[in-house]
Amino acid sequence: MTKLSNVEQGQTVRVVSIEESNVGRRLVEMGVYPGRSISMVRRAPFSDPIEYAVGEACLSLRESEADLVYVEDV
Amino acid sequence: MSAEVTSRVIRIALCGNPNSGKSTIFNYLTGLRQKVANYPGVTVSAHTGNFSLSENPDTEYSIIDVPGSYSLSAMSPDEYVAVQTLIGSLDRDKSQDGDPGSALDLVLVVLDASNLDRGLYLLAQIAEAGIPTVVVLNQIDIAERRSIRVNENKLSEIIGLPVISAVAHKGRGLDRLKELIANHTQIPPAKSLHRFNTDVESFLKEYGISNNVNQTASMSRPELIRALFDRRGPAEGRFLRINQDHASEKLEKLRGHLAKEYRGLPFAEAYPLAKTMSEIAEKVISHTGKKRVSGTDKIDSIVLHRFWGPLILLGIMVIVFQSIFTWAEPLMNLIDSGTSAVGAFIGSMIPEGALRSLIVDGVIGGVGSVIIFLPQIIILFFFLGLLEDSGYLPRASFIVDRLFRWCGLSGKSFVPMLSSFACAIPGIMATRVIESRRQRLLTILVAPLMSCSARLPIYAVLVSAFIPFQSYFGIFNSQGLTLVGLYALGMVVAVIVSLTLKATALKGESESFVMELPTFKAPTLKGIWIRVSISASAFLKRAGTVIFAVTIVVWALSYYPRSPELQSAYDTQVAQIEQQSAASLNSVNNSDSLIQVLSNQLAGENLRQSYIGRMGHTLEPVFRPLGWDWKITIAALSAFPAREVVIATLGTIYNLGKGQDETSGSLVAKLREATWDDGELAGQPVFNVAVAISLMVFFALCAQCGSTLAVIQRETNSWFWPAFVFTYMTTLAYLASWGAYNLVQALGF
Ligand SMILES: Nc1nc2c(ncn2[C@@H]2O[C@H](COP(=O)(O)OP(=O)(O)OP(=O)(O)O)[C@@H](O)[C@H]2O)c(=O)[nH]1
Ligand SMILES: [Mg+2]
Repeated sequence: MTKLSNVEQGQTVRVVSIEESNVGRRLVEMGVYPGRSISMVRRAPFSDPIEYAVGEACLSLRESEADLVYVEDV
Repeated sequence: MSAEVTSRVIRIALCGNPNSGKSTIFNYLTGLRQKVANYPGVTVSAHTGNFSLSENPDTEYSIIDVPGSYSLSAMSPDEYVAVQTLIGSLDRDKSQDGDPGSALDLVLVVLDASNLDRGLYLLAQIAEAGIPTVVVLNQIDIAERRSIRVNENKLSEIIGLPVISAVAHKGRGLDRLKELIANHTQIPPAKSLHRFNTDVESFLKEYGISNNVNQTASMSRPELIRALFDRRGPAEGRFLRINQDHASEKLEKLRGHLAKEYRGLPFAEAYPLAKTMSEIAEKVISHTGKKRVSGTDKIDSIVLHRFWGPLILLGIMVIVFQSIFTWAEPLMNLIDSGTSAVGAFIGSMIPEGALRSLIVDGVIGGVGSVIIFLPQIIILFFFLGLLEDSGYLPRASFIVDRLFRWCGLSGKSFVPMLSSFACAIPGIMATRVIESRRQRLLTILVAPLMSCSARLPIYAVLVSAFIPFQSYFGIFNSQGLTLVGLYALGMVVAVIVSLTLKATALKGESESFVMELPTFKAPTLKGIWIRVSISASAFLKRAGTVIFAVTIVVWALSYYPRSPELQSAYDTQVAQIEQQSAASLNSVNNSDSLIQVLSNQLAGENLRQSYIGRMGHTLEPVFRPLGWDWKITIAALSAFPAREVVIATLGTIYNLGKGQDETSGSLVAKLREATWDDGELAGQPVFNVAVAISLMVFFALCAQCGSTLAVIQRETNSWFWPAFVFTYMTTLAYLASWGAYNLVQALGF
């Protein structure tokens, strides 16, 4: 298990859990919840935030927010 | 009974995720022009519109365009509006209070077909309200392009509500929506789509309406759900007020259980709900082909590229501001010669006197010189429209977030800041999408520093009059670059102010930046036309109201009082000259120019003696260090209600300062000819590069806009912040203008 922020570009992983926080709840509402697969698309030009693809949506998360999500390899 | 029912207004709410197409549907139904754009969070306050249907001509419908949200647990002010609209209407349940007009008759939930699970999550929360609900499965064109098919019949069967597929911006599928609305009484009330675990369900039952003895003071199921899961939310407060006894303990005990089981109270609602909804989504979605690399992915790999991304962003900004200047030129010349011709024509029709002066010098000289800037306004909004509709703006936020965070803002401040280049008012409204109160406030405080379109006129006049044209590399030129420099000045100062505030009054960590990057879409001509026409008519309306009114006041103050002595002294002198020239036939030309000189002197003297001339002379010493004479001082001061007035005032003052036959000609020419009235510089030109730059810098930084201050008051709900903005901006403007004046002079211009 690792943090979402550590996932390399192009890699796809599965969400295991999320730390409790307001941002955490928002992430669930936007489709990031345990069992969902998520892939890291790219880092922004100045390295933060990071773009992830979940289902058909592209989300932008800051590194500190991606830190709240724990993932595992599929 | 039936008469009463059919004559009342049917209330409809439009809900759904951000960027799902709600405002597009709202506009289709009402024929109104609510702003539509391709980024999440366009609509930030609930708008209401009315319409009627040909199927049902006697009934009036009222529809609310609710700001998009991902759920009913609100994190930002714009999201809370959605909750209030729904829960507020539940509060006054139809069966319980006598006023049926206060409750919703119908809810339209708009789902984005490509992101069904997310939309269903919100639908499930809304469905708890038990209001008749229609589901609009929108943007199926985009879903199809991604090889996604949603089986609308199956979905309708599972959720027990009518579902229609639509492509809203083309109007496809919306006829059926109209039919459904016309027969809204046949639409079933929504039923719960999700059961919580037994502990939660029994809590909801215990405190729900059906079990409460005191019916009027009970809470509906959706409100109870909010009371349970939203710690310190508005619903919790009501719950504790209504239910005394052991309710508070019970609530906390259940919360404790749930928090432990799901590792976080919010997740006790969110996980099971998300899971149920994704299961429903899976059942109705089929993939018709292999997933292709979409156009969006290809574009993103370029515009979000490490190296090219920021360069492209910078390039776009430079191109936009350059073209505002270059493209508008021919059109502006056309309008300019048009108004001058009208002025000359009317001038020749009306006998000399106050009325002629009012029309030619006041209205045409004043308002006319503002209207010239219509083309620039149109070009600015055209480009903003392209950027907003394409879906590029959230990408720009993504790129700049790191930089913005460094100065205390967030990437989400980008759209409000960019909108402020058009006008600070929508810009400040757009800050509602920023969840963090502190960052929102910070954005509001610096947004007025972005050079809005009302500053363009003064920039344009001074740049084209006083900045020598020089071309670099064929595409850039000194005038365009000066303009870019003025815009940059506002931005740089905004960064400095923001950093200062961040380090002092508004300390704190920067907060959440979860944002969606929408699919790229080709901008529609219609969408851009709506934007351009709204802003053009708003501009003309301002010219016809505020600017017109201030102009008349300025004209009256600069026309009166008239001194009869001056006029009679002038008349005798003219008579003398004419006699002399009649005596010696050969000096006709000479006498004409003598009379012209005299008439200019008279006009100048009259203006000096006018109310405004006296005020100007009193105030001149204050602005003398900035290189301004009393006319510029008055013009700048008159622009405090609205910036464009400065042009109108200069137009009026310079017209009045000239003798007869010289009032036509462009403002640029008049400014170039302006000379100092008195003092050591008398007779020398007022304007040079240094003065022009000093004046432009002042306008770039000064808070000269009553409406902006009013909006800040409304959005922050405090008088302190608008006062603060006014003070800091005006002080900065004075100091920077003084600095710029001295610097440019020292550089030898
Ligand atoms: N391709 C496609 N685009 C659509 C459709 N419906 C709306 N759009 C576009 O989607 C974008 C968002 O539409 P809006 O109506 O502004 O969305 P909204 O739901 O009001 O968004 P917020 O106000 O941010 O909550 C706009 O660019 C629309 O032109 C559709 O069916 N297909
Ligand atoms: Mg909208």
